[in-house]
Amino acid sequence: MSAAPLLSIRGLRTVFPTRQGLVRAVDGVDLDVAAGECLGVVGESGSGKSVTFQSVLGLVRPPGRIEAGEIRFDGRDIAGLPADALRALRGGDIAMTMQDALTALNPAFTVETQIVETLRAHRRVQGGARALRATAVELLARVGIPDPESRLGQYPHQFSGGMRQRVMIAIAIACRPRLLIADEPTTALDVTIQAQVLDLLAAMRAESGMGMVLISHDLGVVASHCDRVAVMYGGQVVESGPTRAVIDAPRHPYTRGLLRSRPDLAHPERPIVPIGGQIPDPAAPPPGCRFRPRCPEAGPGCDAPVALRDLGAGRAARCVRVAA
Amino acid sequence: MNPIALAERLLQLIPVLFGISAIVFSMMALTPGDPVDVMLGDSLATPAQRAAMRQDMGLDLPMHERFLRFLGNAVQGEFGTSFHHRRPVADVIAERIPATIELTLAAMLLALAIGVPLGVLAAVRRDGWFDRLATVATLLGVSMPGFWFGILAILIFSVTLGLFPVAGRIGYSSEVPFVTGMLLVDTLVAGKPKAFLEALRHLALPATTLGLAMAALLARVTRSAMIDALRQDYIVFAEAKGLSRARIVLRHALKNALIPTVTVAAIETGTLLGGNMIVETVFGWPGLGRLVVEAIFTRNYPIVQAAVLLYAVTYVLLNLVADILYTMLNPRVRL
Ligand SMILES: Nc1ncnc2c1ncn2[C@@H]1O[C@H](COP(=O)(O)OP(=O)(O)O)[C@@H](O)[C@H]1O
Ligand SMILES: [Mg+2]
Repeated sequence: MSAAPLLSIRGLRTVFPTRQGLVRAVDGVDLDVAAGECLGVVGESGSGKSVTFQSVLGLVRPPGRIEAGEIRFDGRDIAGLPADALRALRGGDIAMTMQDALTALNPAFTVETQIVETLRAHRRVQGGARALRATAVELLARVGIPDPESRLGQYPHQFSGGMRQRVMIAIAIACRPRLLIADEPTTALDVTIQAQVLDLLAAMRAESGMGMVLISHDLGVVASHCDRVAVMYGGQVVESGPTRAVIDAPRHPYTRGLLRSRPDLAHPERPIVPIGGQIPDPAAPPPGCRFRPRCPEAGPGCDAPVALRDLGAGRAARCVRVAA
Repeated sequence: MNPIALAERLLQLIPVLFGISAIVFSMMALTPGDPVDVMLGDSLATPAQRAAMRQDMGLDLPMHERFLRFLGNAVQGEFGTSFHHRRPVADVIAERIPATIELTLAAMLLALAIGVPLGVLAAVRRDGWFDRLATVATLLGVSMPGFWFGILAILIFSVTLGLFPVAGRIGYSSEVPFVTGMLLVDTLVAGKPKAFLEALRHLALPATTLGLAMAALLARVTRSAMIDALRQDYIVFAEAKGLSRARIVLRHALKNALIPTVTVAAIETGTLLGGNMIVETVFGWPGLGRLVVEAIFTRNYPIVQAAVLLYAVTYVLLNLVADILYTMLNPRVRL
């Protein structure tokens, strides 16, 4: 990567004290997103994808806390930013959509209120109520909601799942963010609607040139939309690199497992093989490689700590058995 | 709520009221003792006079006819004559209603003004010292018997400190023309600030006694509803939008948290409007509650009957109001 990345995460560790012990939800994550780039983040549920980006926005709630690491946005360390500086960033330069729009949108307020309050918070619109309303209509139209004027006064439950996701995207892009974090934008949706929402996100990115993080547990979603991909497991990045390269020649056994566990359109005769076993107990992960207990290729040396190693060509993997 | 749904809900009241009327009627009909004996007391009425009176009251008719007659009269607000007052029951009760409404409204406003902010603050500072203090205080508030608190308040503030009157609604010297029957309003309408203050001083202790208990209840409801609301995804999303903490707490969380709070407040208002017998008795507040207590002690059945019916109607109507408020706050529900 040439210029300084838009978002750069180094050694991020986010923990939650629980009754079972300290949960290291994110444990030493390094990630970069270049301006205008789309980074895919994949991994099974519970691998720390959401917590990583909630940490970026300072949304981790006590008693959870960021224990270590550096988060730079545009070169500026934002990890310990005071509340009001953080607030200006949230929804302003960095926006986020959440997995389930039904729970993320407030059921007690109209869509108009929820869009307009975002515009107000960041003072992005000159003029009064009428100008704000016009901007809200325009935003709904941009995300492909038919008849935006009349839908503005409706409540979230009056929208279909796909339309609700569009409303949430409209709110996220309202203040022209430079980075959009889309957390599992398709998981809560019907298969037929998923492609439409992904296409919308791609179109928004193309239109504005913003950077994007597309979080998904589905490698297929990431494959068709992202320049680069990071695979997470047990709170760590286990492999990262250009999407094509990672999918064509995965280096980490977990990535290979993920690929085998989904249908391959190019080779429909290949059987679908789910990854055996379960994700590790987040309060007591195995020592050494976290994937070792489930890894078909595990051998001696896998119980020693292992770092994410640079493999050249923009690729990296966290596995002792992978030669550089 | 649309008019059709509202009409439907009102129609549903009919069977409820019919059932309550039946209960009230049988309560009277099955009570041992002849109402005529009670009414005439030890007077030297001849058997013929007693029989005439029985006929007059319809007591000689078969049970179902008596019930129909009772229903017909009740619908017209006719509950017979109060034994004790020798006046129509409806008049006696109507006279007492404004005092109870005034006390109830004052107590409820006080309860909302104290309870909701207390609950919000406790939820926001959850597990902090303020929350702990509020939890203990509200627990005391909901579990302390009203009469005990009332008597304590009278002893301290009226008897010892002499700050407030011991009983009644207003001093005898004040002449207030009747407008609404609520003295705080009527004194202002009449332009009598001194009488207003006088009425306020009388209202202060009973309203506080009722209001604090209610405030404790509302604070607890608000607190748990706020804690629940603040846990929701929409709060995380509101934070991710860059909204201020105040807006997140006071708009996004509170509007959702108010749904249970307002519902409880409306239902409690219904209960209070029935007249709080204990507090009204302790403070000599001439409202419905005290009237009923007096009526029970003097076996003034028509009054008790009418009052119980009135309670039931009020309670059911306030439940309807609670439902309407609920739909107003919660757009997902459309009755
Ligand atoms: N508030 C919390 N308290 C305790 N543990 C949490 C909390 N939030 C997340 N975790 C834990 O952190 C881990 C990662 O969660 P998350 O980032 O949501 O996973 P993903 O988004 O990849 O599905 C999980 O093991 C989860 O149990
Ligand atoms: Mg997640």
